[in-house]
Amino acid sequence: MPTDSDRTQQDALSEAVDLPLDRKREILAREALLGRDDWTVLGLKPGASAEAVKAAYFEASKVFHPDRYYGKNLGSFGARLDRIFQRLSEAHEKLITALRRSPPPPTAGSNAPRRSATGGKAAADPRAEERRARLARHPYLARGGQASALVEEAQRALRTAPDKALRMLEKAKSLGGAVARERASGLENEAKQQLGSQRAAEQMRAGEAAAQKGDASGAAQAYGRAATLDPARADAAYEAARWGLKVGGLLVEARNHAQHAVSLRPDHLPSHLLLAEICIRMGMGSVARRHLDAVLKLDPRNAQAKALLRQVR
Amino acid sequence: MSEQEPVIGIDLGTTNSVVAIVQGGQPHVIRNRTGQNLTPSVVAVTNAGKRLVGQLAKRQAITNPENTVYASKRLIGRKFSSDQIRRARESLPYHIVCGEHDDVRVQLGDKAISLPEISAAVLRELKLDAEATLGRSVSKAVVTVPAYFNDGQRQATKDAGRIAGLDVLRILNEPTAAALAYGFGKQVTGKIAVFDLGGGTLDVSVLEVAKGVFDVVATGGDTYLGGEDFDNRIIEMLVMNFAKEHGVDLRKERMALQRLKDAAERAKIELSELQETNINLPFLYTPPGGTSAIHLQASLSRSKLEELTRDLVERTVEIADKVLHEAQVYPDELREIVLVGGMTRMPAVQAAVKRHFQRDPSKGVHPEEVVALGAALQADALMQPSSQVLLLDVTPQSLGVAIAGGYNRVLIPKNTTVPTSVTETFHTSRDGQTTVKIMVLQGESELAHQNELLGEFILSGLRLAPRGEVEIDVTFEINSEGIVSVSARDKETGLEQSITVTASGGLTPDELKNILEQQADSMLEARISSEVEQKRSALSSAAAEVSALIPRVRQLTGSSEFGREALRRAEEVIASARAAAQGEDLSALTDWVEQLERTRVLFVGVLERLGARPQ
Repeated sequence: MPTDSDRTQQDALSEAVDLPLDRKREILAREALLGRDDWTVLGLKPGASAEAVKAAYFEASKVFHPDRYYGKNLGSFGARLDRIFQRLSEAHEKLITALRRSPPPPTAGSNAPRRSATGGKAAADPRAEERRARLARHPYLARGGQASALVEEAQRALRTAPDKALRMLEKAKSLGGAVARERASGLENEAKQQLGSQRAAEQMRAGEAAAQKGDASGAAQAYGRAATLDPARADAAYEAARWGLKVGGLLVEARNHAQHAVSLRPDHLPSHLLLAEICIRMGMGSVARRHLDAVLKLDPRNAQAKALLRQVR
Repeated sequence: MSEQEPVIGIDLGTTNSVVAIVQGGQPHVIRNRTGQNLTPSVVAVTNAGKRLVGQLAKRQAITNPENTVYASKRLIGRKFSSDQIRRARESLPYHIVCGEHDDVRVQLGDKAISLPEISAAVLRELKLDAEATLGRSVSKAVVTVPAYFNDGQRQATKDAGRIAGLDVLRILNEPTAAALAYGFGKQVTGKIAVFDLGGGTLDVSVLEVAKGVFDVVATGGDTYLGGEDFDNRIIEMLVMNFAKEHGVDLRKERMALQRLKDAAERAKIELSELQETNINLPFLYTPPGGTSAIHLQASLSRSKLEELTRDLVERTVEIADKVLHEAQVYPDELREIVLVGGMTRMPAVQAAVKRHFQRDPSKGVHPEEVVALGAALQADALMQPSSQVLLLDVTPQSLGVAIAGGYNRVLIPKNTTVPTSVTETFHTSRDGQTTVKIMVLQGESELAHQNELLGEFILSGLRLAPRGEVEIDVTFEINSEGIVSVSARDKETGLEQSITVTASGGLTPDELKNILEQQADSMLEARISSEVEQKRSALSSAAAEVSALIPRVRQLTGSSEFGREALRRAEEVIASARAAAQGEDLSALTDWVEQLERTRVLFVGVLERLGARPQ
């Protein structure tokens, strides 16, 4: 005996629309899978790679995206295609996000002090925080007040959660009030710097991990990111240059990093040596010589500098 | 099967517009009737009441600043009371007035014209260009808008298409179009970023591309940051210096302002190639009282321009940074960076992009044409089932509903791939609440009133109950056309209310209908006047031919009674015909052309009979 869904499938197959029978069958078959897990919806086995997920999504889109049937009479199949494509894109999004998420960096250092800080404040006045929050949410409260409350909150969050602070500051600025806006702009720069150095620290750890594994290009990439995220970190610039030279990709980038490292720490001999080495490779002998001379001035017996100087000549 | 109707792609720009089409599988730019690829997005009405579009309109802008509209894209779909319009009114030489429902109109001559009508004039021009090139009528198009245009601005652009007699198949985001054209026919696989800095807007998009599928990952931008702002910095500097030197505020002089604008744009463009340029505007200001006119002479260096616009350039990369961050993409993951828009020719912009993305941007696309080519490709992809191109686009802004306390609850976050739909359950917020008002919002602010209100409706007949007990399902749906529909359903009773959100582009449906009807009338007028024009030229050439025959006829037959009579009558006919040519009466013109023709045949016959060869 045919079930309900069989019957609707039969009805759909006989529906007079601008679609070949094969395509109708394909659409109905995929529609029947929509309740299943994300892998099955995309036509994959669980555990496939991110690339496979992307490829399956793109292939399926070429069949099921409504634009492929623009201007055609689709009857009930129009809504079916919409449903299928939406589910496909959902499944793709979820799987890609899950697969891309790298293991979280060690957070022991950043988590512990945060907890103790809020704990301390709670002991002093258990409900102050809550009262302030409630007040800030009150719709009748002047918007300027809301803005300055947000600015204060952002200031507290600045060290521990700069990204959250940035969002709060942006909101505070949109709420208005000249004073709050000015303060928010000031704090915003600080928060950006803070966020940059936090993310730079993450990238430094990633770089160290990659370097230990012997993944030179991974290390170069991570150190490079760290150096751009936090331009004040001389160690990041130095490592980025060092690993960049090892990987042997674009030497210009390595040189820029090295130059930056030197300008941050003019007394750091390895930075000068590294820059000189890169310059020699790039055929910029005179620049290399200048830096080698600088090294020899600080340390007249530096053997590496002498060896490199010979290469220049 | 007959060949399919051609579908064109149009880049309706702030400064210039471009039209393109796919032929033989390849996209091409269609030249306009003056032989140019770019048509200035300028519309003007002359003192004689004639409407001009494109190059002709731009050329006369200096002498007719108050009736020449440029950069109208910065105004379309906005509210008259908005900040942007207030600022624009200070710097634009033409007059902006308020429409009936806080919409923006431009005073041209004695009429207040809506923005969709202005854009329609440009679109119609492009449509005619395409028809002239293709030799057949064109009624369908894909039109691009900045990714960051909201629903109102998109709707206004669609309305403009309708007024121009174009069925707009799809409104496409400019950076997406650029990516489409860039990636078309190449084996690009991976993530690419499009940095599109045009005359009025900045758009940044990140796409993932593989085998003809273009998946938009994230898009963002600023609808008020573009070349016009760079020009304005130069104008400000010139105005300030002029005021210091001569004590005259040029901003009050509309004609001077228009000339300054022209000169500023030209200087900016030149400084992309040169290190230094001169700005010479003779007779810029004539003081009242008949004293001699003041000239403006200044030089501008590239570094000075960079100094004047440093913060603008900085802002463009900040926005790019934000978009990448939202897309969770690191600069070094990008395969390519595509620069689009005329402003990306500026070396400082290229340097900032290079510094930010840490690589050289891709060369080899024409920044001003690539968007139109992409629009043509998408048009082709929609019409040709065999097309290998598929675009997976996203909603550029979040959609939500207003909730208690004046907040915005986002239901569909920005950068969600369309088509999509979401259902969320809400509860009543007051005791005994029997109605609920659903206000549909577009934007990123948490405060309801800071977002665009797309539409609202009321679900009534809820059961009397304490607050929080009645549950209402609200469903948002965006189909692949980008049309938003929202429905609310009382979970218990199944009572349902829904709307299709048609954001107002500034014109009410009635107003749009009126314009379309008037349009039909004026099209008729236009057709008649073009026939009159034809007859006039036929008349003048016929009259010239007859005049040329007269001396020889006189020479041969002037002595006879018949000859004198015929010549006298011919001269009469010519005089009357030329008089009629001054008028508009089509039937009179036709009569006189016939009479001239008869006279000509008569004279030619006479000359032949008398043995003289007619020339």
